[in-house]
Amino acid sequence: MRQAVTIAARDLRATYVSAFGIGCTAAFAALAGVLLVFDLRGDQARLDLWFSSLFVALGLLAALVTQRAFAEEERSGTLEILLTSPVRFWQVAVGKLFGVTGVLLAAIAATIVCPLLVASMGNPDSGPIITGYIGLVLVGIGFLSLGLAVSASTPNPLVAAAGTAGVLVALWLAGVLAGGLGGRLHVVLEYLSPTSHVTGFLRGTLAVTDIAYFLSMTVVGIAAVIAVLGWRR
Amino acid sequence: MTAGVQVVDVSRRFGRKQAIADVTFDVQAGEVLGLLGPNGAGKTTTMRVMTGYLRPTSGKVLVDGVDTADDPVAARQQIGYMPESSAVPPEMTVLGFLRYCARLRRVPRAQRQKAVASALRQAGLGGVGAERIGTLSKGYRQRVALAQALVHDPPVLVLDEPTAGLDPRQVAETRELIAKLGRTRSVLLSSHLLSEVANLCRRVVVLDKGRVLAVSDVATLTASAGVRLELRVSGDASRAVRVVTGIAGVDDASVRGDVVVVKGTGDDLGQRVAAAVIEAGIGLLEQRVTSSGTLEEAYLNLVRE
Repeated sequence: MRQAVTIAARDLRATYVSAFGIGCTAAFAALAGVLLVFDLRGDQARLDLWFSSLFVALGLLAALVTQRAFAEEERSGTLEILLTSPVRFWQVAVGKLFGVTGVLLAAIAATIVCPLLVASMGNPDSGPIITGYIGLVLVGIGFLSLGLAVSASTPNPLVAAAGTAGVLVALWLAGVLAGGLGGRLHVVLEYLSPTSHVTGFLRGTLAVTDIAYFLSMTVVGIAAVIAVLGWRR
Repeated sequence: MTAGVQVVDVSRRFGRKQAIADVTFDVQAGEVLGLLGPNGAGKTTTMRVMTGYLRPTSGKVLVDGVDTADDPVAARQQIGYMPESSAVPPEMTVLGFLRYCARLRRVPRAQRQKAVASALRQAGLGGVGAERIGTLSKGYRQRVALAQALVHDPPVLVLDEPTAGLDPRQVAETRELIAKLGRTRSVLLSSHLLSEVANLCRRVVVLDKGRVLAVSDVATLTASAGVRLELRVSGDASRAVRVVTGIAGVDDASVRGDVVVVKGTGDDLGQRVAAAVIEAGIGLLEQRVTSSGTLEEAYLNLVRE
C-alpha cells in the first residue's frame, strides 16, 4: 500500500503544480455556481436538481482527469519508468485511483460555497445535502475507476477522454433504454444505469444497494485497470 | 553486489509482427555487455522484456536466478533501467523525482537521503537538485534518467542509448561512469556508437531483424571482420578469382560487377594478392582495401549478410 500512496502523492502533486489541476477544480466550481443559478426552484431552498446536474458534470470531470493518469504518461514516456519499478499492477491501479480521487475531492470541496450560499438565504434540509455530497464522492470514484481503465488501454489522451465519456454515456443510455423495455431486461438495464442509483442520495437516503453499486463499479474499474496493464504488456 | 542476467530463447510478437525471436545471451556478473543493431533490430524490445515492461511471448529472463515471470517485483528490484526515451516528469524537481524513485524502489527511509545524494553525485547532477526537470537541458535530463536508474543501487543496469543527445564532454563523463559502474555491476548497454561499445564492452550481442547474429568478444568479432579487397583487373576476372582463391588466408573470392572481391585475413593479404595476380600475367588496374578489421566493419558485415 505504501507504493500506492507514493504513486498517488506524486500524481496529485503533478496535477496541482500545473495549471491543469487548478483549472479543473476552478472550472468544476464555476460550473457548480452556474448550475445553482439555473437549478434552484423558485423560492425553495432545495438542491436536489443541483446535485442531479453535478452528477452529470462528474462524468466530464472523470474523463478529463483520468486521461492524464495513464494515457498522457504513456504518451510522454514516463509510464515506462513506473512500470519497470518493483511495483505490482494493483499498487499502480490503486495509487492512480487515490491520486485522481484527491482531485475529485478538491473539486467537490470547492462547490461547498453553493449550499452555504443557499443556507444563508433559506433553510434547506441538511439531510439531502449531506447524502448528496456522499453521493458525489461515491459516484465520482466509480466514474474515475472506469476512466482509469479506459486510460490504461490507450496511449492517446484524447481517445482516453472520449472513451471514458463514451462508457459513461453508454451506462446512462442503459437507463434510457430500460424505460422502453419490460421484464428481466428492464430490471438488468435499470440496475446497470447510474441514474437509477443516485435518486436515493437526492432524497436524503443512503441505500445499501446504491452504495454497493458504486463500490462495485469502483472494484470493476480497478480490476479492469489491472487486467489491461497485464494484457497490454 | 553483482548479479547476472540470462535471456533464454526470448521472443516477442506484436500482433503479426515478430519483433524479436529466440534471443539468447547472458550478462555476466561484473561485465559491461554491448547490445548492437540497426534501427528496428529489436534492441529496445529486448531491454523492455528484460526489465519487465513487456512480457515475452515465449522464453524467459532470469535475473540473479529469479525468473521475471515468477517474481517480477523481485526481479525488477535488482534492475536499474534507463529507457531510450529518457522521459522524466518535467514538473518535478530533480531531488523530488529521485526521492520519489527511491520510495518506489523500496529504498529504506533511513538510507534514502544518502541514496539520492549518491545518485546525484554519480550522474553529475550536483548543483541542479532544486531545479525543475523541465527547465534543464536535454543532456541534464538524460543524466536525471540515469540517476533514477542508480538511486536504489541495483546490481544490474540496463541502459538504452545512455549517451544519446549528450555533448562530447558529457559523453566522455558518462562513459567513464559506466566503466566504473561496470566493475561492480552487470551492465547491458545499447548504443549506435560502435567506438563507445568497443571502448566499454568486452563482449557484444549483435541483433538484426529481431534475431541474434552474434554473441562474441569484441576482439574476436573485430578479427572476424578480416580484410576485404576490391580488385579491378584487365582481362578475364574469373581467372583472377581462380588465381586468388589458392592463396593462403583468402576465404572467398568472387566477381561482382566489374570488380573482384576478395575476403580473407592477414595483415599482408593485399600485397600477396596483388603479387599473385601480377605474377599470373593478369593486369591489375586498381586494388582497394574496403575493410581492414574494425568493429564497425565486422558489425556491418554481419548485418549486411
